[in-house]
Amino acid sequence: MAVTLLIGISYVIIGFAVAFLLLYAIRHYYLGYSRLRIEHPKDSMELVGFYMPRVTVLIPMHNEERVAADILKALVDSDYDWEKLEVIPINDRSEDKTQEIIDGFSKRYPFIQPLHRTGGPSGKPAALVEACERATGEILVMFDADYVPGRAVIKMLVTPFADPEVGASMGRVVPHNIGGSLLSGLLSLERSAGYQGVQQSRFNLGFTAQFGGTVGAVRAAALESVGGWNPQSLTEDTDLTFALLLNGWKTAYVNRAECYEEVPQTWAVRRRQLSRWVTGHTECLHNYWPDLMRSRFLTRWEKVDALFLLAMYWTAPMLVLGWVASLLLFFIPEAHQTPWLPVALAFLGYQLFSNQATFLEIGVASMLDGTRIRSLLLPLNLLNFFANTGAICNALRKFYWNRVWGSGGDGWYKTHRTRGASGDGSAFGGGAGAAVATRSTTGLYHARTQRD
Amino acid sequence: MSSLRLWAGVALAALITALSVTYAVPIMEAHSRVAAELMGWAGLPVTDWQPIGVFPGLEPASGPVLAIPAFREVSQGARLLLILSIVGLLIVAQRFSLVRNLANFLIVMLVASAVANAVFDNFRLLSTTFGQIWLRQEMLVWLLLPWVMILLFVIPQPSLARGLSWVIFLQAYGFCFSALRMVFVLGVLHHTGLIFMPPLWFLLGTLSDLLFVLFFYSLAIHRSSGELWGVRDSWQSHY
Repeated sequence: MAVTLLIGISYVIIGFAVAFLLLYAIRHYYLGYSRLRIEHPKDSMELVGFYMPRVTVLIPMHNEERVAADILKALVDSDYDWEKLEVIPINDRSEDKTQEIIDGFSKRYPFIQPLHRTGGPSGKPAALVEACERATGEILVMFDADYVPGRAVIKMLVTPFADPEVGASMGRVVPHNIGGSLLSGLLSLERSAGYQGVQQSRFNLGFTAQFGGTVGAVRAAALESVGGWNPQSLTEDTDLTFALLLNGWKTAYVNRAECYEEVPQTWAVRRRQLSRWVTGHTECLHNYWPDLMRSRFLTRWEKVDALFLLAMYWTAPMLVLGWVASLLLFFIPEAHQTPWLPVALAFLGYQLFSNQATFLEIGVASMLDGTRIRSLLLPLNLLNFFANTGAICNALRKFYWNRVWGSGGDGWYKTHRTRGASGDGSAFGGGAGAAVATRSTTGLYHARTQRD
Repeated sequence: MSSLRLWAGVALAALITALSVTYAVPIMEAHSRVAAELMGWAGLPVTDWQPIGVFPGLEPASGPVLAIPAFREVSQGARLLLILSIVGLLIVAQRFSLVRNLANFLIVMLVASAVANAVFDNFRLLSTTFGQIWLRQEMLVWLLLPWVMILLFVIPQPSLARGLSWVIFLQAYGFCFSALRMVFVLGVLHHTGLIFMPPLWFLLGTLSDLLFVLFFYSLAIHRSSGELWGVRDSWQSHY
């Protein structure tokens, strides 16, 4: 009797896991397929340079001496009109030379207006809340400190705001340390799939693009209308995406607004990053799903897509539960008598395909980007998949444990930087105060490096 | 990309599926013949081939009769191999963080298997039963594989003919690779009993099917990327 019950429960778990994961498989394949099918990806690039409102760039920093100069130099190099540009590097209690580097730039460039935080709650969301109170821009552009924006990125990110319904825009993140380790190579494939594949595809299909909190812009009025940043959230970007969505604002995706970032090179760093994302994302799922279902601004398919997006980390525990159930069936001889065991196992095995239907997206993105050598790493992404599955399950276990028992949970965690310091706080040649700006004959601002 | 490409892929997948269903018994028999040949080369002492019912309503296929020892009959060498495997996996888990979760999962399976075998030391699995389970699973893989391959190989390829060729090639490859894996697992079971069965099933079952598809997919993408870079329009809007 007990054995029959155990077999029954195992089949129910496997069946549920298979059904749940199959839905994600269909979604992934559909997004991959539609990315190839749509002839002209949606963007607003023909308007670049015609719509140039006042912009405030916010860069949260905490002990960023290795990278601070690079991003400030890149922003000085930006072709956005300095008269309409304000840059606020937010130094959140750094204990290294970050303040010195920022102040060096600030003295030379009046549009760089640093905010040195010495009190209040720590972490990126809290830093953004404080900086937004000082920002004067109509559009707020966000970059993490380790990012290196190209010259035209700000122009590209603000262009979609010509549409008054757009509340936020999101650019594309491109890793620059691809050769740093096997992990960073694999993550670069994941990033390609996520941006070139999924974000563009979802935007083409009329679903909301996900605001990533960096290489992104938000309309100050839209931010205010939804009550500003949520300082309690570990993923303030996802939180804002859904707060905007529920209030009728659109989020645009700008694939050509490429910005270079540093992806984790070690699994320990990646695990902590993933853990924060899982916790914040799942928190958003619990906070927003009832309102999403009731929203009058969204179509049925938009609601379905949003729900898929929010629940995506549940796929990992579903898969593990299915594996555990199938392992149990292995040790029950009675289960071997029915033809259903291999059927269940085959379908569960196929969920590797469904969960990894992202492989199709990686392939699609590789082709669109013209990536050749890295595409050969694709089978090794399976290792990343197993590693991710464990880390996600662990993060969810902690999240639900904390939710039930009311303990503190994870705090905000800054991703570790591995970029080598060159002594002047720069790896790309942007030493503090080294850039000198000139106005060219075309009226655009340019910066050149002073070799003194 | 026109819908012709999609429909051509769907037509091929439907044809392969229809042929797999219609000729299920001859296909499984062919699989058994390939397996028998490989077992002969490997020197496995197969004493007989017995009929095994794979799916209700289908004529039975053949399964090999091969001795698989129970836990108490397993040699000391096999037990030592179990310990060495666990130690090896522990070292891998310790040294290579990216594969830590996979290694830990395999360790859990090995330990669970060893404990289950030790507790239920009369637990047995006949080689014919194993062959039956294997064929049931692989038949499903052969039915599903063409549909997955349309999406992975036919749609993104710059050449429709090459995309369709990939599907046919991989279907044939999957068939032969399945026989090879089945023989390998049976060989290990013959020498070491059932201790290694769960991890072997996990690694060499559908996971291997996934891996070989991914391996060839990466090659296909590698080639396509080289051909398409700079001529994106040709595959985004035409055919």
